[in-house]
Amino acid sequence: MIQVILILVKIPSVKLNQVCVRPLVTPFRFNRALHTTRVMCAAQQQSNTPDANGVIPFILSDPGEGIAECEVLKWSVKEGDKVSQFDMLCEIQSDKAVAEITSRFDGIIKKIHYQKGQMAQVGTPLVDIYVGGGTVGETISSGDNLSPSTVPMGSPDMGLGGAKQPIIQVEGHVNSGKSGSEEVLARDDQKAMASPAVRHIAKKYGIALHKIKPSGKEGRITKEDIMNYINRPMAEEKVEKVASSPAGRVVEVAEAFKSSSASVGITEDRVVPLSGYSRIMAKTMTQSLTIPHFGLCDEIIADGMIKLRSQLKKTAEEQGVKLTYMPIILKATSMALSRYPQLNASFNEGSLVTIQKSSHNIGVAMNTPNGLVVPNIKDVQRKSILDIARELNRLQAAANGAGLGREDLSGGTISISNIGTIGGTYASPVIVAPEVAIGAVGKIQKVPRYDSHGAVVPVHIFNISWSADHRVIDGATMANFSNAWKEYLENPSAMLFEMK
Amino acid sequence: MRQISPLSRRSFTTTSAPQPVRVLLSKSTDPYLNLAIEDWLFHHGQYDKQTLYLWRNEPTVVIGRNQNPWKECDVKALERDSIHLVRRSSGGGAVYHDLGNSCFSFFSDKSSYDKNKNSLIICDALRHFNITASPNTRNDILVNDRKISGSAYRLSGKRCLHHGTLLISTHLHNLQKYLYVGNPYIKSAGVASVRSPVQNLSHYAPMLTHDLLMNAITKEFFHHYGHRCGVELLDEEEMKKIPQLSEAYENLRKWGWRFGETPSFEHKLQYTFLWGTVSIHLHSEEGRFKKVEASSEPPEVLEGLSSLLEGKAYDRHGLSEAMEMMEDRGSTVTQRRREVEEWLVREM
Repeated sequence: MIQVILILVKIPSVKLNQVCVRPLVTPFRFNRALHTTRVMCAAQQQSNTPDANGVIPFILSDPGEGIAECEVLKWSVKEGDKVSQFDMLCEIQSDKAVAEITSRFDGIIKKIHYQKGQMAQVGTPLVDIYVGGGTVGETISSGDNLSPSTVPMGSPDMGLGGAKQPIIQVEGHVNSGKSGSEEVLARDDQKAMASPAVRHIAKKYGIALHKIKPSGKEGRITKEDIMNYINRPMAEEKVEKVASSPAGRVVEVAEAFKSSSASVGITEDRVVPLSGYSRIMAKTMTQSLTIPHFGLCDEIIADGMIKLRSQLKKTAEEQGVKLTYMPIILKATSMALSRYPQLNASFNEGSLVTIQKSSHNIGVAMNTPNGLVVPNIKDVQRKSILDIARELNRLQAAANGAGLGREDLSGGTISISNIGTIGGTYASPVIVAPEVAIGAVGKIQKVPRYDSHGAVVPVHIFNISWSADHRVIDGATMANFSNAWKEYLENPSAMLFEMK
Repeated sequence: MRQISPLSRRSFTTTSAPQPVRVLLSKSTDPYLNLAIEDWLFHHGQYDKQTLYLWRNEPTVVIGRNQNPWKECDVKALERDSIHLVRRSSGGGAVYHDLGNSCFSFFSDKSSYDKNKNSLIICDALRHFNITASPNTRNDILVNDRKISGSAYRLSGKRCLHHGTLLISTHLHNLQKYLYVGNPYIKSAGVASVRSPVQNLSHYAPMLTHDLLMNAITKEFFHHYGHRCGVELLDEEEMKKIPQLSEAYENLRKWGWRFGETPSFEHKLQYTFLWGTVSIHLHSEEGRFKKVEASSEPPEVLEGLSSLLEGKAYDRHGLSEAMEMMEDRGSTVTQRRREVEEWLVREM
């Protein structure tokens, strides 16, 4: 229901090639693209001299980027209001940029041409300001590059490597870390931002404007600034450092961006109801300990694995993948499971049936901000070490950020815990039902051991602690499996030899 | 895929003459405070320095300066799930923030304002993680045609702000849950959001975190401006003591800013209940009911509601207030009114 009324308007004192057509729209409009092609009035130039009635039309200047119109969001003044230079007139919007338009003149608002919600045409008057005679001249000087009426919505000359206007250089080399010795003072009086009334007072007291520290919005000098300067204590010129000193504690970049964890004790009893992962953990663990567990532990020499990882690490990083020991351990587990599939099974105690699973969906215990979770990596038997590492990274990121999906948390056939990365050597892991086995890897330590010649040599070792369901797994199977797994990790070339 | 090793990387931009810099990092995740800090930096920051401000918010929906919150997001769901609703002072569309989304703000002097260069600084930072990103014509940043960052701007006589988001590991399903394109029954002025398919950066670089990325952006920022500085850590309590900042903070929280700045819109609703029909045609201005035509068949159910709604806040509190003031016409009518109120609250 848009009513379009065409008005033919002839704008005086400007040469026109065509008449300006400006449709009026009702306040309730449909959304539309802002870069519509509309008939544009021939752009007027901003004039600084009032017409015969003492009125200057304030033109909406061309912001570049082919923008023909902007929506008026809000007027801060109304017709009849008195305004000073730099006072806020209105806010306009073009696509994603909101711009504040401030007055260039002192005067009185005579006529507002576009109401809130209307589309203002670039190059046409936004508002007429009555300035009377001659108060404008002294404030608009040719050297003034601080014209607030120009709306820089990405002006075309700001391209890559394009010529830019020099910014105001602050005296002295700026090497921050020192607090607040850089004051923003204008280089000379012309560059100082102050309304005519303020300039008049400064002139009256014979004060150079560039000596005064501005406290107004956007670096403007106010009347109070001048009075403060006049009344400053004579003993010392103490410069108020509040505005320019750092806002907070200043630190080096590296320290700023490392995540910190503060440890605080609790001073009184705290009631913590279990929720989310903790709740699930409580329930599953209760069920798990109905399984008769038996354990088997061993010591693995880690040097071969350490060497393998250091060789592969760089290549993995180039592909954006973080490689830890875990992917190697998981691949070895899968290869051992291929020889002993009884350990990759699910047991149903009601029917006394074990289902040996063809997929090695190996669960990896993870400690997240929300608690312990065990997502699994699917089909490890079909994945390379790099694939496993990539998938592990993904699960870790998900566990710590967006959250794990149901798919990731179900369908596991065996689990491995790398508790050693936090601490511990031997452990007694608890089987995750309905799986039949679980392993916990302890931390890597450097210890003295005897080699084949009887000499004492330093080696890196870590411990493995297996737990298995004694209703379906016997000690011999567990030990054989563990030996195979150990063989692969101590001699990675054996892994390569048998890898499909 | 050709690998670009960090040692031989080329910057996208040519570095210009050195300019002094300032970097600030907010320790707070309060969206009102973070935006108030931005407002304070915009009006009262040091104009001679290229300034970079880094921050992130707890779960929040942020709408643009001139948007209609009821059209852009599910306002009731936000209330129910305790998600903040904040209106920013720059233009553009509605976005969902959580701790997996990082925000950056570049403040420049008008003469040295270059929003494309800012985006390229971000792209150079992403290359540290072997992510190839580039800005499009709308200055969104894309990786493999998926949007990972959007920008908006605010300009005044002397100062220019370019700020934007970076999706690292945001809960993307919440974007769909809380933001929607249009209630088709609302016709309004104002800016509509432009939908784009999005993706998290952690999809391309799994170990990417907020700290790692902000670190990289800061390094590239220094590289481009040829200066370094210490990073100012902004503490919540200290910031609230600054008078202009706490004033901005209070204003951002006010209903009048968040809802009242909504441009005018029309909403036409109709429904058939078991006992009859209801038809409501309402106009809203500044987030309040204005000029309502409500009628029902039988007529006594909504008689007089039109005038009672005028001027009330356009939300369920305003509606509830108005309905309570209606003349009592017996228990059947009251029961029917309750049904109408429930339906209206769902629709609004």
